[in-house]
Amino acid sequence: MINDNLGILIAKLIRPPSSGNLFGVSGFKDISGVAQNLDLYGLVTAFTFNDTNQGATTSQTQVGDGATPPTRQQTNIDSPFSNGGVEDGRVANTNIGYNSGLGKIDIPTNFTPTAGSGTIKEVCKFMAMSRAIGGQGIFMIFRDLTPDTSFIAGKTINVVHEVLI
Amino acid sequence: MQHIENQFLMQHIGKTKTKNLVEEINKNWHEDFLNKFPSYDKIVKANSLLTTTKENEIKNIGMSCINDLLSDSFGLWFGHLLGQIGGYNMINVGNVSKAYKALGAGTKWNNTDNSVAIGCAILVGTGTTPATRQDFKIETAFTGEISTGNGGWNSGLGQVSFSMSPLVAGGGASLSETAWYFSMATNSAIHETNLFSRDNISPVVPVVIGETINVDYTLGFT
Repeated sequence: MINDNLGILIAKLIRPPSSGNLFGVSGFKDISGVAQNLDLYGLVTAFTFNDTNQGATTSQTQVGDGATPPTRQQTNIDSPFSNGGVEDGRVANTNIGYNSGLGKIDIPTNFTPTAGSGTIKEVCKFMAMSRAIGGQGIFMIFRDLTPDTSFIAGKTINVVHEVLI
Repeated sequence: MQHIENQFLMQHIGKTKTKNLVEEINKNWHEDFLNKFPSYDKIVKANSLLTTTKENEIKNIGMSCINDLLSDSFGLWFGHLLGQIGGYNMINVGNVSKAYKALGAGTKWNNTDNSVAIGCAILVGTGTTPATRQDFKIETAFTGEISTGNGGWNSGLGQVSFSMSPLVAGGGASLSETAWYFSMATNSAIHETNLFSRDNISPVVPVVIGETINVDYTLGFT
């Protein structure tokens, strides 16, 4: 399920043609649930949400074992793993790709748990974006429940978000 | 376009005196529609073209299947926006490949340097060729590029909606297609326009001079 962060972002990017000064938008919440403003349009010298001058604009995925049904108001993963390894945190996506024939965007993440085992029940996607006040914020944009998938340390996990358009 | 689905929708013609037809469809007819057409699990949110008489009664509607709704340009733009740092190319409305950047440093698609006007427009036309993801412009334009308003997010419905500024028809036509254009900056901060969606309308919507054309787009998200 996409959450309010992504819905607001897409909606506010749609506007009548305009040039000039910064166009900022409020209503985003970072992974701590703190409200943040993003500048969506502007000059190259005024750092917009997708500019790396405020920090890397990375795309990340995280898995966990939370089973709470997704809601659009959620801002973070329900229950991250706490094994002390790679599987506990957000992992960078690689090579997001658009498939015209299938009408979908694939967002792959591959990583190898390093510390322990667990059962994946939820998958979340995050975007690191530059905030209007400067610096980087981490924003969740998808959270979905998955069929239970067990893993152990040393065995690679492949996660692919498919966005159908 | 699916004729039997439009037959279903045509049952409601004249019963809805509102411009928010898509919202009413999704709210009140969604379950009934999906019960009759279970293969349309994802269809509900789609484009609709509304025409109104002077009495504001819905005259006719058309809807298109979401599977052929959004173009390759949209897929590339959205995919890169979701986190693919670096450049990509889109085909502009002149059928020329142009280079853009979604994330990173320097000039990106949303930079307004050089007075680049960035934003959306909707066109209505009379072309009938079935829409494909490779479409790069409206087939046969009846209108020019009519600016949209600002997009709105409805959290409860999971929808992004935006509308064309109402247009009074300057002549008669049988409207059979709509297009969503998005103008943005290339890597060189030059204004280019790309088609993000082209939709067929069936049955066609006849308009005569003086009638008001309204077009509302709704993007549905699960």
